[in-house]
Amino acid sequence: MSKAKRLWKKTQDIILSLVLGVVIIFAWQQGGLHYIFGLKPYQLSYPSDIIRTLNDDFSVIMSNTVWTLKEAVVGIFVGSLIGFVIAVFAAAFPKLGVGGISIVTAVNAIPMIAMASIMNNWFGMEMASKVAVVAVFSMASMTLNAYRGMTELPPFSKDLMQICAARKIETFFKLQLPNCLPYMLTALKVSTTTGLMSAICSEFFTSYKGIGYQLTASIKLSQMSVAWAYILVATLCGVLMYAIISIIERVALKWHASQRS
Amino acid sequence: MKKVLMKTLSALTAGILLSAGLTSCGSSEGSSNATVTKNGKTLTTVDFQLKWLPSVQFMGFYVAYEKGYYEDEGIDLNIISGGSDIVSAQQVSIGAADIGIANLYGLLPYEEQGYPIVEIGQVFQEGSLMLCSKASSGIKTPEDLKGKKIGAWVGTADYPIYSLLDKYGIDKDKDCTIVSQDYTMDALLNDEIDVASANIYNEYIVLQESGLSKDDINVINFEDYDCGMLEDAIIANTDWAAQDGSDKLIEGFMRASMKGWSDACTDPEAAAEIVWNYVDQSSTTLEHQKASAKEVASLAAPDGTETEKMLRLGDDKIGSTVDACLKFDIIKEKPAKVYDDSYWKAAVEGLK
Amino acid sequence: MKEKKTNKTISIIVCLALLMGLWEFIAFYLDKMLKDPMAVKKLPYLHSVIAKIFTDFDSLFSAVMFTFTKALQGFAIGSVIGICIAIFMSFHKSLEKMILPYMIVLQMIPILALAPIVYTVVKDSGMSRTVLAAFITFFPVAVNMYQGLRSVDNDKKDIMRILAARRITVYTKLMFPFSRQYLFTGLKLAAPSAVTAAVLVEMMGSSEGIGFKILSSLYYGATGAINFWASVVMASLMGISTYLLVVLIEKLTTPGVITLKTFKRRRGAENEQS
Repeated sequence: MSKAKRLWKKTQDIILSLVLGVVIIFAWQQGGLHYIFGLKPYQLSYPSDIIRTLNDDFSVIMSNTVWTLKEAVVGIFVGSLIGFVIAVFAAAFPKLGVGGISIVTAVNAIPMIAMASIMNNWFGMEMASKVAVVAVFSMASMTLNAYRGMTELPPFSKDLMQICAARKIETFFKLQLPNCLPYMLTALKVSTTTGLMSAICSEFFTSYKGIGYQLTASIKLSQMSVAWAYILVATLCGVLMYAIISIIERVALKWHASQRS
Repeated sequence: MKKVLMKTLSALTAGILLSAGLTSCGSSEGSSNATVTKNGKTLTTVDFQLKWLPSVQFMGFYVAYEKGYYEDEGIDLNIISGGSDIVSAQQVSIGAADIGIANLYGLLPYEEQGYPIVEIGQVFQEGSLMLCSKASSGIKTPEDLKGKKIGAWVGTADYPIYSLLDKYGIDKDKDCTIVSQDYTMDALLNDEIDVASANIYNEYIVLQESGLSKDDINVINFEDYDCGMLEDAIIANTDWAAQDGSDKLIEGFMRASMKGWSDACTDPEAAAEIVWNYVDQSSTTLEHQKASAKEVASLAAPDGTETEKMLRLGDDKIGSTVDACLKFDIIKEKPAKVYDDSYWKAAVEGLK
Repeated sequence: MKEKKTNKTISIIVCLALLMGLWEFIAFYLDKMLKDPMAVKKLPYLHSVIAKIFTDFDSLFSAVMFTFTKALQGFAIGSVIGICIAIFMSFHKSLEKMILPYMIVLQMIPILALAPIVYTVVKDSGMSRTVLAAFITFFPVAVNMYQGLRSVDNDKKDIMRILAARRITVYTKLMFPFSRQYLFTGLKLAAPSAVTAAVLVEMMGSSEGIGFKILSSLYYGATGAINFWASVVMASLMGISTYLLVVLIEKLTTPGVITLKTFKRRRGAENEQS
């Protein structure tokens, strides 16, 4: 495929995606969604109202968004790092590791409300407690995926390394780590949305700033256009973070089957 | 290219058909109330949405339920528990419940925006909210709140605080920090915040159970500064209320509830024992529920526990809550109809 | 094979013991060394939590069963939806480009904002809760399954095409078997989150279940502190159980490694021995 053709194809994809979005937004603005689902304007604001609110309160919305974004990004980074380290240890000491991995999974099942209250008690009501919540949840997904990537190697590849008298550390850097990369990126992809979401949800509890703090107040007082403006911004951030990881994936994994067209 | 387009189109059609099918399933359901037969009587089911977990806060309804007052009025009451992630005014307005409990000041914006709901009765005649702080902090009067971190249940119970701060010339955005408080008093106990919101019937008791004596807790009571706002209001879906036979049901519901509340306020301890079967017994104690019930009784029946004094809608108190809401931009203008006391009056007539 | 399995069990037990020891130590440190007045809230002694689980077993067990049933329902529906979306996206790359961004968008809408809309559309409170629970679980399944479907080597697909295989054959013989392990990764991620979803739905009003217990114990403060931790432990145990359930299903259905037949045969042999 020539370069021009590939570029044309890529633009096609983007246009298709945008067309769908425009159709949905148009139907929404014209009351189509409200008609189909039997909704009232006060339950689901019109896009024009949301945009107007966004425009009017732009600086307030932005400062809250940046706040939450900080919590999410730091949390995902810290959590993924810890998760990765756990996975490395588990892969290095398989005897103990198998059990450790099974236990880490349980973390995923701790309900948000419980996790938020525990972390508030441990780290206070400042950013640290929200970062901790995000970190714990992204840790679990990273551990599970990275461990898989380090242990499920192509057949005989480990034997080959042994035959070549590779040291453990060499096997790790030359075989396990590259094999692990696609799994890690998948974990990161999942973590972007769940991380941002957990940051927002943990702000529902004890906080004084952020998207979640503003969301609860506006939903409970039926200021739906404000609520949807925050949801819109949060969504854009989520998609943006997802897109960044996808681009990294494309660059870093040129060799992997999933990236070939 | 053509192939791609075709595929995309067919996929889109499939998606639209699917969603259309989903809606048709949804809208086929009627909204009229079901009837059941119990003990040889034909009862009409009425869905009743609480605003929070089952507790003595709603003791009058449980007492009426247990004593069969609703059945006497031909009602099979389905009490739906509330929770942290639910807005009861919303649930009633979309028809997930027929009648519900909501904060009056949380209800007003919904009424203003045209949600089909109206207040039909008022459970608590006084506000129950207060601000608690540790005695060591030295916060005694509203003036002392300047520069402090104040815990508030943002979106549900923060406006009385803004009203109080405003009265004492404290800017809520500049002169202090409003912190969204969760369902615990932990932030205050951990010294994360200086002042915490508390309901007299639960959190104030929780603080005392956490090892603080009454002398260790400084209290700012909103009622003392005329900043109290009305809380638990009974609301009804007006679309449902307009249906044939609904007005009789609402009247019956009101009468039965008034009797229940009268009984409960006369003997709060007995009421607490009835409610005890509905709470999570591993989280709380009967003593807590009894202490709580006494506070609830004094809020619901400040001037006597006679049946005709229960759930009364007083114009003056509601008016001052509406004025406060107008002042703080919760609502832009006064809703056409804040409350409808015809059901309450009819219920009182029926008592005689 | 059998030896490997006992090794894993031992490993889990050892890890669990280490974790429990650490918990007990931190609790002791908070309580006795730091003399933290909030120690019972921050981390109570593990032994008192376990004691609470035993003394309160009936109430906890019925709560667990209530939530667990809801979680499994949501998990089943969410997984089916996730798989369907993944297959749908795999038909053509353009579809992925179109749908995936909007799927992420949907993920970002908090339940608090979504619940009233779902209620209005579905008009049935039981149904809308199931829809919301499924809504939370479908995403990891869809992403992982799609990842698997996409990872199939083009050479293999080409061979199938050269052999004039129909699309459905390509899926059943090549794509599905290949994406199995990815699907199970997704399912393993989604399984514990199904429990979280069920608890979250209980926050919208419930008079039983683990979520109800957690909310109650937070509301009633210090008297509920141990109950809070007991409920959290039970929720995590539920998460492990759903996870192990998926692992078991994976083991049973993985061809060549261990099939249902051999599993039964082995179980039969074990029973005979004992």
